[in-house]
Amino acid sequence: MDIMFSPHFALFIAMAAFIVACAIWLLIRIRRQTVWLPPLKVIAMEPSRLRRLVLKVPPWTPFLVFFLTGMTFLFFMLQPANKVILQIAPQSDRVHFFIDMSPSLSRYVTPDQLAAQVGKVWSNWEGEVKLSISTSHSGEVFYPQSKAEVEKLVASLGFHRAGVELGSALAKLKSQLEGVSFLLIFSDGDQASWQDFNWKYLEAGMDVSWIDVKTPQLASDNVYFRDIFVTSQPQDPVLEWDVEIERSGRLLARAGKLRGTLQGRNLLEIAWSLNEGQSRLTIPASIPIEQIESSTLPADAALVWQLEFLQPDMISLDNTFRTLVGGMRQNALLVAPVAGERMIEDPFFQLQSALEVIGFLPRRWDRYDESVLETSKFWIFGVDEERPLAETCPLPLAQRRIDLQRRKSQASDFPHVWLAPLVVETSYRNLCHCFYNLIRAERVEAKIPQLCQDVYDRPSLNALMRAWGASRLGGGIAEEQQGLSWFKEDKALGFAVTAFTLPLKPSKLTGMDHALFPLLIKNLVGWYGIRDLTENKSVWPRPVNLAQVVQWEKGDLDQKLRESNVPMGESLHSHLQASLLPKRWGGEGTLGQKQISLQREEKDPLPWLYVCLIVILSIMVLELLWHFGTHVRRRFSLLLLAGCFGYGVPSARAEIQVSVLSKQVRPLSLDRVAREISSRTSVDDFLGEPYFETRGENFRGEPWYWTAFPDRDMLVDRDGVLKPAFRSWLARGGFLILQGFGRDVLTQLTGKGFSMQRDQARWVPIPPDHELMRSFYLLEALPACQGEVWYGLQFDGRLAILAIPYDFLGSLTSPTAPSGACESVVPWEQRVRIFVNIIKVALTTDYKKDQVHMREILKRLR
Amino acid sequence: MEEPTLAALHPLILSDIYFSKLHSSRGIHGSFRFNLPRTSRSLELSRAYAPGDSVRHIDWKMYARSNQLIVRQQREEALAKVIIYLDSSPSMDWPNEGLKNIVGKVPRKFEVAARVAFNLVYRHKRMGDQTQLILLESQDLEDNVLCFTPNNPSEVLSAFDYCMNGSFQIETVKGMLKGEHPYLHNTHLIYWIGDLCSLPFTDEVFEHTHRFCLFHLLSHLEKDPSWMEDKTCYFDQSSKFKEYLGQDLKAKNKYIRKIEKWCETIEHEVTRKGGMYLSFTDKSSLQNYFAGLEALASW
Repeated sequence: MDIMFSPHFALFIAMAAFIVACAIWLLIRIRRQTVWLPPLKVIAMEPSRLRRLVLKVPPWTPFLVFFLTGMTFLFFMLQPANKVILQIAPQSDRVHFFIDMSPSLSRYVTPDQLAAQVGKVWSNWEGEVKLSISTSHSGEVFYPQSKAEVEKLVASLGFHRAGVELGSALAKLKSQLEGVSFLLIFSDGDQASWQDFNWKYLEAGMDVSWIDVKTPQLASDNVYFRDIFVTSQPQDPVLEWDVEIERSGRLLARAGKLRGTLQGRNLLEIAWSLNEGQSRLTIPASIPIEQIESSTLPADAALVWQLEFLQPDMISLDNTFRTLVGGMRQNALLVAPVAGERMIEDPFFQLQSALEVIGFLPRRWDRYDESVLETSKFWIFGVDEERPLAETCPLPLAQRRIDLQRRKSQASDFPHVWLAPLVVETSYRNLCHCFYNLIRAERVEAKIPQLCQDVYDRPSLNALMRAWGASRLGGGIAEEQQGLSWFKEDKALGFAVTAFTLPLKPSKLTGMDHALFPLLIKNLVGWYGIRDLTENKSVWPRPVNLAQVVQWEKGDLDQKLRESNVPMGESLHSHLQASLLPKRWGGEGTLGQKQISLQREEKDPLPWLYVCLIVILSIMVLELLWHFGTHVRRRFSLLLLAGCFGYGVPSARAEIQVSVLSKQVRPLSLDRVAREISSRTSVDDFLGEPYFETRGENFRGEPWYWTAFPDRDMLVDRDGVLKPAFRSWLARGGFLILQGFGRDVLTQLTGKGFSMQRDQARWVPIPPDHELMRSFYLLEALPACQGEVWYGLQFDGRLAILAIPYDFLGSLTSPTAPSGACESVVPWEQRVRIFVNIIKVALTTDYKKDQVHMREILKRLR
Repeated sequence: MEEPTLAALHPLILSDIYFSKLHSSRGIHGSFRFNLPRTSRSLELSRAYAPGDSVRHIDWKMYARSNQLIVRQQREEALAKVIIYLDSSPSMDWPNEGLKNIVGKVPRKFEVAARVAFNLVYRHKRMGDQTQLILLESQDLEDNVLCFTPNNPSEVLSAFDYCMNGSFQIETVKGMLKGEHPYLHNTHLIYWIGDLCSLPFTDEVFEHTHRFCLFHLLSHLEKDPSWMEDKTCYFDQSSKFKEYLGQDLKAKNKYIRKIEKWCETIEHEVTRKGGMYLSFTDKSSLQNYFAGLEALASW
């Protein structure tokens, strides 16, 4: 029997309970009986030392009961359960394989070897349970049908370069793992993948195990790229990097080469060496910029750094590192006509120089047409008012923007466009036209729109830009409408256009200083986000946890992620200690054999629930026994106990029913008179349906009987005398009502020497002061029948037998029911009243002789 | 037959006690006699001349007839203003219910005090005095405003019956009283009935009257510790730290001597200030009570 609870926690609880119990002991120690004595306040008595603690044995039973109850509930709160091993059912259970294919595994196995391992395990259960498989590549779950399919899947995927954290990967797969009873993780147990993986939470619903795919390796080193930094400035003619490499392992002397390639071209090759014990090395690398600059180089071109070794390296994936071709000058497109001497009259000469200074590589075109194939993200157009718009404005961009907007598509490769006038005194119409087409028009307008025709100077252009909702940059507080530039952006497309109201040329007219002009351009470039001039790094994805990438769930990784750099954690060769990992499958890494059949462990708390229940019930009995055995008020306890039991006991109702001793059942409904009785008296439950005792054997259970003369044989023996059984019944309080019995029959009924107890019973006519005449209603007389009156047999101070000279019961069925001569003359009201009185006598006999009422009766008499 | 005790005192139980100063005669309202005598024609009030008597009071006609110097004088009687303070502090509600199991049914001090108070009120109202019964809740006399000012003796009897039906509970008595301003000014006689455990009498009473009588009422259980159990702890309610074992209290009559000394101290203080001190318990006989009143009368 295996109880699953924390022993430390249980011990803490036990200690806490013990301390609490001791504290309660001290608190509820028997207090000395104390009595308040007022004069003690005013008289000075020498203080006497009182013993505070009086050791007296407390009532053990309640204390034990309390302690046991507390311990039982505390134990119950620990959720004790037995571990139950259940065999996995093939039809309902599912086994899932999760394969960690992070780079660290490449140290030990190749993809094919890993595939073979997985396939082997797969084949053990193939056909027995439902099997599914997923890898750390993506959140997709596969259901291969054969071992070959499994091996092919695993081998084809290969190891990914990014790191992965198993915890988040499996958390994202949780919805797809519903119904999985057994989860098997193929991994090398490296810390980077297993850290923060709370696999125990998965064990609430499934059994988790892992297979160690590590194979014995010769101890060796692993050299990897730590990072690569750009150290040169963009304007430098030579791009310089610091390449940091690190290694883990035995730190023996190593040597090799560092190679840098760009689009397959070797750009550098540097030899390096690590001395024994040296773990880190920084290799300075430099590439002349002319080797890199190329008009066809894409913006996200990667510079691939490769480590080559003289001795084999443990993980080969981390020997390749990619960086953007950063630190270089960024391309910029300048389109403006050349006017005169460059230095003085060319409106874009200083701008070009300034761009070069701040790290751009401007390419200058005189005019714009289809031949301009530009991939840079920064376009500056000098809008000439005298030349056609198509030469000074990138209208194809406008068309593209319009098309994408119509299709509601998104794009992210729009350049940032600057539009600047070439001279100060200009009409700005073309500039306005170009701006309108680029960012506002719903279709490319060849003709200048009316709004732009109204623009004739800088203030009017500023006003129009303001009206178009463009964002102003520059201008004074006093001249808030005189902005230097106006910016508008289509955020959905990422297309931004900036229109300058002054030529980007230092002069007295523009107010731009020659010396400060490059700074101005630099600030403008930084302000508009064209280039982050503080960033000097070349960034290439290096995800530590591939599962956090949104595309991972869909299994749709882009090229950059597939070629991402291997995170350092995968190269470190650090493993989690075994106690933090789930149980290992197969033991000692042996696979291929089915060690035990698939089983599932579950917690079964039921036996412990029974134990707790038995303990609680026993405690309750003990408490009750002590409770009744002490001087505690028993009456209250009894009442309480009775209340507890009585609660579930159906309440007993007092009912009155006429019992008829008759040889046969006859129709006799007393509903009418029952209603009368309910309405007139406190007797609510008078049953209208009489009870017929036809056999005479169970008569002792009824308190009274009505019987008619024809049924006298049930009462009397052969001599006509009342049977002894009835006599004893009468002696014990039975009330007999005879109907239709004549006087002589009555005498014969009791016979000679008929006596009950000590009194000689005798028949007497019912006198006017009899209790029958006044038990409820005051009756003047009882109706006689053919000269016969009502007789009663008195003994023991009560009316034991009442003899009615006719069928009185039959006359109670309805006011018009009776047919006999005697019955019909009695009014219905009188019949009801007589019956009520008979019932009252039957219930209470002579109430005035009841001693309970004596005091009240005497009070009234006073 | 047991002698009746104060616990059975009723206002109607009167004795022939004539207060020398507090005397009411028929036809004259008031029990207060002026100090200054005046000449009287009444034969009952004549006596032989003694040196020092004023010659104005000599009955010269009698002297002419009998050659005897006879002095006839009387003092005027007037309404006396009498205040009876009845202590209603919690200590007067002792012995409490919890003690019944130990000592049986013993009348509470407040019940006895109330009986004494009503007896005095009735007596003075019979004599025609202006009487006010004030429930003491605070030592500051001005703060005690719950008063009973009967207009006639029958009101006193009705009030007594009401309190008796309510078992002389403090709340019952309070319910009977009204909030009035006590007439402390020019009071002729102040009675103080209490146990002095919670509310000691204050010197302020002497500012309002020349005649002060302290009825120091304790329970017989407080004076006689023989009922105390050795292992039971007796404490003072105002201080949880004053606790004494019964055996310690009874040892060497320590407790009895302390109580006696305390009573002596109070008596000394009261008499020093010109008042009168009477000490009773619930078991004091009515004889002792009336004897005390006689002493008061002749004071």
